[in-house]
Amino acid sequence: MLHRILANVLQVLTVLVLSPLIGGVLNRLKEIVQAKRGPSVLQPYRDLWKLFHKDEVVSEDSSWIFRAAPYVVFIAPLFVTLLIPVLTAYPLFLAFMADMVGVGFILALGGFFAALAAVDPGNPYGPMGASRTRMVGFLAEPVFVIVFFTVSFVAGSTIPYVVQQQWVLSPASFLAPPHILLVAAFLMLILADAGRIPVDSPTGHFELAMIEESKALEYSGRGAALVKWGGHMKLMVLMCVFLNVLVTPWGLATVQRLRDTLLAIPLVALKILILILVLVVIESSLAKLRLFRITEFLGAAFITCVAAMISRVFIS
Amino acid sequence: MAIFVSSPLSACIALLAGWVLLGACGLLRPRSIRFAGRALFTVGALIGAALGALSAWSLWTGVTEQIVLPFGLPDLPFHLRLDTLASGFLLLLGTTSAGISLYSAGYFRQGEGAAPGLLCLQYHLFLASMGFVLIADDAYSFMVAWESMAISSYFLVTTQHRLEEIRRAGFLYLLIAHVGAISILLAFGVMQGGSWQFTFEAMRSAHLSPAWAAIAFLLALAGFGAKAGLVPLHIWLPEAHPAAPSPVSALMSGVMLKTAVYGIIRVTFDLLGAPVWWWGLVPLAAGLATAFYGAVFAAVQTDMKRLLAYSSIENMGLVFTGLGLAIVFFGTGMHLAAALALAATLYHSLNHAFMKSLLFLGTGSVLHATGERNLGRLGGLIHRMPWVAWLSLVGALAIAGLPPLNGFVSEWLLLQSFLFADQIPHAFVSMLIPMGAALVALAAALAGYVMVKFFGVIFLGQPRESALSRAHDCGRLERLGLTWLALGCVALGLAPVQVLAALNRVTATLTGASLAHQTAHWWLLAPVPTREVSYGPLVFLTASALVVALTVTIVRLVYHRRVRHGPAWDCGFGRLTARMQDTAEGFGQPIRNLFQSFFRIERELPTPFDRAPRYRIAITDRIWRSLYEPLGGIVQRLADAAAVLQQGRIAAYLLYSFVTLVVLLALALVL
Repeated sequence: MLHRILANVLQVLTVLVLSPLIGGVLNRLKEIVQAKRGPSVLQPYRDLWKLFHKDEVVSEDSSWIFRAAPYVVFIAPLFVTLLIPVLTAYPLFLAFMADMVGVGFILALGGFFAALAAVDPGNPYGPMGASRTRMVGFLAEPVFVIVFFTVSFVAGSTIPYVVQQQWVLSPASFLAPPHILLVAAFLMLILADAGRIPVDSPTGHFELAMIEESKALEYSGRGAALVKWGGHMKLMVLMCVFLNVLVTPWGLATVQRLRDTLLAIPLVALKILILILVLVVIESSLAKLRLFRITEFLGAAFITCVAAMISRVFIS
Repeated sequence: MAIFVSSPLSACIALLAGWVLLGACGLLRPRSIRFAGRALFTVGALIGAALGALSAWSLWTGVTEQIVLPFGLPDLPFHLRLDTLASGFLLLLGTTSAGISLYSAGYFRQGEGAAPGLLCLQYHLFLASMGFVLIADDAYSFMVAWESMAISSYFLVTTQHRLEEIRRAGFLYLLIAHVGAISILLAFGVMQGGSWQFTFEAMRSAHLSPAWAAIAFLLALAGFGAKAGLVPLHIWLPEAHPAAPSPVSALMSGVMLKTAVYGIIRVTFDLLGAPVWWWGLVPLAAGLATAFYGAVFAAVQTDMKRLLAYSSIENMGLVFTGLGLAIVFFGTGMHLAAALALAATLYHSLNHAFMKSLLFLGTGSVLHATGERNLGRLGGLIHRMPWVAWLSLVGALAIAGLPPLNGFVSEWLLLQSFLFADQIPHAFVSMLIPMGAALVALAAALAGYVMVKFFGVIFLGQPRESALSRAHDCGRLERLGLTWLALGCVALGLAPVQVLAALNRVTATLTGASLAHQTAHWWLLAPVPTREVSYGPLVFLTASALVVALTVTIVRLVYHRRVRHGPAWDCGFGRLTARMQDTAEGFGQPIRNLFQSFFRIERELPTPFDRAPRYRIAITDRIWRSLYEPLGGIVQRLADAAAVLQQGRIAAYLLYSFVTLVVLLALALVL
């Protein structure tokens, strides 16, 4: 009992504390690849620190939605952490409270409020970003469902922990075509959902070309910090689902011991680092797509996972 | 009280008759808004609540009761029957209409179209006829109730009959309703199976050949599909819903569309009894197409009520998708999966009744406060109308399918039933159906997009017109009605185990398979005993409330800076006005761009030299052009051809009679 509570807290803290580091490492490595020096890997923490020490300016025309949205954006990925295997392979308290569809929809809840908050201040750029992020969001949704369907056809369940167990037990199917296609599709999905290149450029500073960023344009101080942190955590949560459930379901704590759970942290961090390297390659070698070419990107992801689903029938 | 227990059906008939009587009372003082509007509608709401309680009770006890009333045709008196399916839909009718009637009591004003007394009569006749549709047990009484429903709602739609466009919308509605009714009538004709007995009892025991059964099913699907707004029979919906006063739109969208769902379930699972699996592919495909079509069109609308009407089309598409799945599963012997899909169908019907009524009533309040239906002239109303904004937000979140509200539960159940698709023993079907789930997800995500647009453009941002600053919040009765519906959305979202246990009584009698009834966890929804899937909204809510409280406290403790209020960021432009905000058209532009081929777009662009530049864009349905206009042309030509017979001279008509007589005599001689 006590241990599970501890594991839960540890899980949440890991995501909370380590998530900004992912952005920092990613940026630093990207800059190095591009022959620049780049900011310190701790820069995201400094940004958060700075924002928490600045005044907040709120638009006169905004309502409570604008003030509440950062909390929703911040909490949605945090809550997802309680549902997915981050450190432990055994299910924790809330593991059965929602499945992968639930995970998707909880993240969508954050997106929904962020979009509303973008419309709220009466700034002309906000709604544009809101409309575009929602567009990427709904185009990604069918991919998400097919990926999760293919996975759960295999596992007979949609609970992330159960799916993870399934993959651990059948390492042979790892190199089978459906699994590889699935991994590819999910990776494309992460790029789209977390607003990375080639779908969106997180470092862009031109309002008209922004997708994800323009939603948060109006935030400052505390609000901006929460929204930014929420974005970091969302990326980390998606990565955890990707790595711990789909790609490498190993390296998690299988026994209820504090030592194992603590040991899982560096292992998970290592897995994430490898994924970051892949992202660095992708982000450095591709350019951002034009807005209406995103359909083609996500269409490709969709076809990939449909191919995975169909090939599954022929393999088994 | 005793009659409730001894004979719920007679109590139900009494309540429905009470509605009719109440409507007739409206004619006593038809011009008095206080009497016909406030008082009678409130009583109507109480009757609705009583009906809801009664049907909840009869659903729970699972009674089946029959009564034969001594009216009707000489050899076919009215047969009425209350079973679990009817109770389930009566529950929907009662609880939803209670909220809508309460709202209506505060809504109707003097001088808006028809007199309040007349409205009261039509409104309550509409309610009562919907109730009688649900308890009818023979084809004759069913059709009588079905037609009175269509006609009473026609009069409600054309309340403001002085406007040409409203008369047109009403006519279109009546036309499609009757095309559908003919189709249903034919389906009943097939289903009596040569016995010429038109009671439902006879239809249940009739043995139809597979071909005739399929024909009956397809006829019924076309008929009920016309009422539900399945593509391509959906065109009346976006015309009729905005034309009607908001409570009537709510009633039509929230409740009347569900009678079509009831009808098709009744015919397929009860009267025909053993549906063949491939029948299900038709509603499945039609439902998916409808869901997608409705969602795409909703995203580009600029009239708030039209937007909601298209969203209703989308939701009915989801409902029919679930129904199609249920038939496919049932036909292939997967009864548990069929029960799950059917439960998802019923759950979504119930959810949609609450959330769509809530949103339609919300637009009613906005319309009264601002006199504006065009999204391009609204904005910032959350400051002026906090109650309506709050409650509409609940509806918007629910319809966008976000946890922990009710829309999520039924969409989740629908997706879960899709997961059984790979066990269908027909190879290509089992591969194709999961693609349907992708389409469902796309429609659901588009609904989220539509709701951001709906809520954002109406309630958030700056007011786009100066007149909006005089907008006022809704009255007390309206507020009560809205709150009732919003609470329904929350309750249906938070207590899925209990709701599903109730719906299980319906699905178990229809499919013969019972969903998980383990009551060990009253807070954890695990509908399928053989699979590890679950959802626990209450825990979800408690945990997230806890996390929210914790985060807010911590942030409050850590953050000590000031919060200043200032103008929105304008990128240094300095001359932002409210009109520069993104409009509804702008917000929907990505959709317009992506799904161009669906729309017929007429654009009028200004040239650089225009003194008074004007930009106009009209988006219309392609189906209207490609299907209905040619069809109308054919009907017109046929009518013209027939008009040749109409000489207008007595001599000609006498000649026709004479020739007919001679022909008949000749026939009699020959045969």
